[in-house]
Amino acid sequence: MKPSLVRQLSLAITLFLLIAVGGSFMITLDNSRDQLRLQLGSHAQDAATALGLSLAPHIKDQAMVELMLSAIFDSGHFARISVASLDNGEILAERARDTAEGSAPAWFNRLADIQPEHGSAGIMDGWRQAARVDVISNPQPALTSFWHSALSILAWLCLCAVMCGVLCTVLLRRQLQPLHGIVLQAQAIGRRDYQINADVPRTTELQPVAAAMNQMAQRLKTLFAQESARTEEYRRQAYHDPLTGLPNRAAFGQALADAINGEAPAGHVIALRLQNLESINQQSGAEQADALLQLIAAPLQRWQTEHPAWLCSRSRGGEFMVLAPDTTQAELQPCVQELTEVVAELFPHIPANAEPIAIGTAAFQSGDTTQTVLSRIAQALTESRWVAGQLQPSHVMATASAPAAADEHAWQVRLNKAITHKTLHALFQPVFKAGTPTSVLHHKLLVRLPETDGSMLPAAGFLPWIRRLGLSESFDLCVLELAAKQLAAHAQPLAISITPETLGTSQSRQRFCNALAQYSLAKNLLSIEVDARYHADDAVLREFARDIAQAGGRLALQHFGHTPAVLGALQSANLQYLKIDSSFSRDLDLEPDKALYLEMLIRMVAHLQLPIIAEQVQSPGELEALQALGFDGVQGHVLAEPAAWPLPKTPVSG
Amino acid sequence: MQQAEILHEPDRAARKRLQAWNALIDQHQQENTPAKLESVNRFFNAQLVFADDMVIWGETDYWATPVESLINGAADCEDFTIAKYFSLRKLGVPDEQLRLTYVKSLTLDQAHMVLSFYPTPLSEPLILDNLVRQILPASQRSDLLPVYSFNAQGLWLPGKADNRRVGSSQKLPQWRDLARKMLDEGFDMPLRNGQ
Repeated sequence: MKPSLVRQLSLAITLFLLIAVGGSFMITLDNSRDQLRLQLGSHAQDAATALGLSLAPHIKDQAMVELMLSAIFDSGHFARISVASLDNGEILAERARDTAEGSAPAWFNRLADIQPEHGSAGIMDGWRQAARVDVISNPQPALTSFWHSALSILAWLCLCAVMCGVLCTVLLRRQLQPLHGIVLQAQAIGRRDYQINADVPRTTELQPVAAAMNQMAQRLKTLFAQESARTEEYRRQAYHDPLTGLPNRAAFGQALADAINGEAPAGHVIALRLQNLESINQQSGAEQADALLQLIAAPLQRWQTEHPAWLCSRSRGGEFMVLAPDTTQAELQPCVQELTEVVAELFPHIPANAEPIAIGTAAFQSGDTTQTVLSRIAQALTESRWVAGQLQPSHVMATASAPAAADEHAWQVRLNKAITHKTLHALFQPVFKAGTPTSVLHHKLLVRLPETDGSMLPAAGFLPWIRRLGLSESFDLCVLELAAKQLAAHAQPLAISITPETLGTSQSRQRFCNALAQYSLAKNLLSIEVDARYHADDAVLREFARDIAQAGGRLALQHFGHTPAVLGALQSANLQYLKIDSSFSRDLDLEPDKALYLEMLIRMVAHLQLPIIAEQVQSPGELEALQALGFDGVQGHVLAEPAAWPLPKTPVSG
Repeated sequence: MQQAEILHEPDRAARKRLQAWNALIDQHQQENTPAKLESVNRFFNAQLVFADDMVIWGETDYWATPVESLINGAADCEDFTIAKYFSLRKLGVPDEQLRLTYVKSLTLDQAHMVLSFYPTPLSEPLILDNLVRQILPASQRSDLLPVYSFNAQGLWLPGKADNRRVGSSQKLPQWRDLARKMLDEGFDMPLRNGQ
C-alpha cells in the first residue's frame, strides 16, 4: 500500500476512534453490570425480607405458605424461592423456574458474568425461629436487557465513529484538494505548459508550495521566451539580409539544394538582378541605393508571407532570387508581371545604365543539380531584354525537351479517380531513434500515386496538383483512412502529413478531427504532422492540437526551423515531436557552420523536452553529424527507403 | 479506638465510657457466653441513657454505632440493641445465635427492638432489653410481641476486602449506613459468617 497522507491520517483517526469507542463501550458496560448485580441482589433480599415478615403469622398453615410464596414468585424474576423448616431442614414450599437461555449469546453471558444473587430471611413463630426463606434471583431477564443495551450502545458508538471518520476524510480531502491543483500544474510543466495557478490554497502549509510552483512556472516561461527569442535572432543573423529582412544567399542555397533533392522536384526560380549596384552606390550614395533595394524587396516580402513554401531571398548585392517549388510558369506570371511593373517605376531613378535591371525565370526539375539550376538562372538573367525602355523578362525551361505542361483536366480526372477509388498506395519509412538503427520511433506513411506503367509517383509529383485542384481535404481524409487501415492491422506508432489547406478553415479542421475520431484509434498511436512553414495562428494550432488529441491522435510539426519563436506560443499545444526542415541539415557534415543554428534549436527544444527529428537524411556523413548534435530521431534514404508493408527486416545501414 | 476518638473528639466522660467499653471487650474474651451476655447487657444498660433519636440526632430514625452511642452517652432501643450485638460479636458470640428483633411493646404500645440470644437455632431465646434490665427468657416477656428478626447473616454487608461496594449498596439503608460507619471507626470483625 502506498503511504498516502490521506490514508495514513485516516488510519490514525480510525485507530483513535477504535480505542475511544472500545474504551467507552467497556466502561459503560462495566458500570451497567455493577448496577445490575446490585439490583439483582437487592431484589432478592427485598423479596426474602417481605416473605419473612408476611409468612410469620401463617407459618403453620402449609397452604397459606405456598400461596404467599407463589404470589411473590409469580410477580418477579426469580429462579427459585424456597421456605425450609429449621426443625428438620424440610422444604415446606418451593417454586423454581427453568432459567433458560435468554436472547443474549452464551459468550456474552460468560463475559458479563452476572450470577444469580441470593437473599434470605428468617421466619419467626413467636420467639422461636421456625423457618428460613431463600430467594435466588433470575439473572436472565437482566442479562437479556443488558445484551440489548450493549448492542444499542455499540451501534450508536459505531455510528458516531463512522460519521466522525467520514467527516474527517471529507475535511482532509478538501484541505488537500489544492495539492491536486499543484500536481496538475507540475504535470503541465512537464508537458512544457507553464501555467500560473491562480487558485492559491487556503491551507497554510500548502500556500508556500503553490507560490513556489507559480514562481518556478513563471521563471521557466520567461527563460524559455528569452531562449527562443535568442534562437530566432541567431537565425536571422545567419540566414537573413539585414537590410531587407529577406533570407540571404545561404538560405537560398540551402533551400535550392533541398528543393532539387526532394522527391519529384519541380518548380521555378525568379531572378532579378540590379546591375552595377556599385556605381549606383557611388553616384547616388548608399542611402539611395538601399532605398532602391528596399523597393524591390517589398513585393518579395509580401510573397514570402503569402507563399510560405517559397523562399524570396536577396542572394547578394543587387541580386534577388525567388525559389518557388511546385509551381508552373503560368502561376508565376503575375509575380513576374508585378516585378516588371516595380522595375518600370524605378527605372527613372536608376542612374546611367541602359539596361539597369534583368529579370528571368528558370525552371528546375528532377535530376537537376544546384549547379545546373544556377547556370540556368544566369542564362535567364542574360536573356532578359529591354525593348523600347520596357523590360522583357526571360524564361529558361528546365530542359530543351521538357514535357509539355501536363494538362490540368487530365490531372483532375486522374486524381479524382485515385481519391474516390482509393487507388493511392501507402509506403512506409521508419523513423529511427538516433544512434540505434534498429529501434523505430514510428513509421512515416508516404503516399504514392500509381502510374500507368506501374511505377509510383511520389507525393511531391502530384501534391501541387492536389492543391491547385482543391482536392487537399479529401486527399488528407484518404491518407487518414490509409493510416487507420494500417493501424488496424499493425498497432505501431505511425505518422502522416496533412496539407496546409486542411488546416486552413475551422470547418475542414473539424471534419478532419471528426473523421479521426470515428476510427477510434488507440491513443497516441497516430501522429499528425503539419507543415510548420504554413503555421498561421497559434490559437488555431493549439486548438487543433487539442481536438486531435481528443480524437485520439497527437499533433507534430514538420519542416520546422524557419520561425522557431512560434514554439514559445505553442508550449501548451502538447506537441509530440518536431521534424526539422531538411534545408537546415542538408550536407551538415560538409558545411559545419550550419551546426550553429541547429545547436541553438536543439538547446531551445531541450527546454520543452520535445523530441527533435531530422528529415530526409541523405548521407552517412549527415547522419553522423546529426547524431553528434543530439537529434533524437532520424529519417531518410540513407537509413531506409520508403517501402510497402511489411518492411524489410534489416534497415539499410548508414 | 484511636481512630474512633479522632473521629468524634469525645469529651472526658465520653472518653471514660469508651475506655470502659474497651476494657469490657478485653476482659471478657475468655468467659462463657451467659457471662458475656450478662456483662454486655449490664454495661450498656448502665452506661447509656435512653433517649429518642429526635433528641440525640435530630432525626426520626438514626442507627448509631456503639462508639457514637457511647460518646453521646444516650441511645434509643435500636442503638442499645446494635451496641450489644456488635459487642457480643466482638466477644466471639457467633452470629447465628444473635438476632436483632423488631418487637411491639404491649405495655407501651409502641415499636421497640431487642437483642435475642438463641442458644440453639430452635430454642427459646434470651432477651437483652433496655426497658427490662434483666436478661429473661422470651416466655417471661409477655409484654413483647415479636414481629421480625434478622442478623448479619443473609444480609448483604460490606467486607473489608470489598470496600468498593460500601458506597453503592442500596440494600438495607440503615444497615448500609451503619456498616459504613463501623468500617470508618475501624471495626475490623467480619459481619457475615464465613468472612
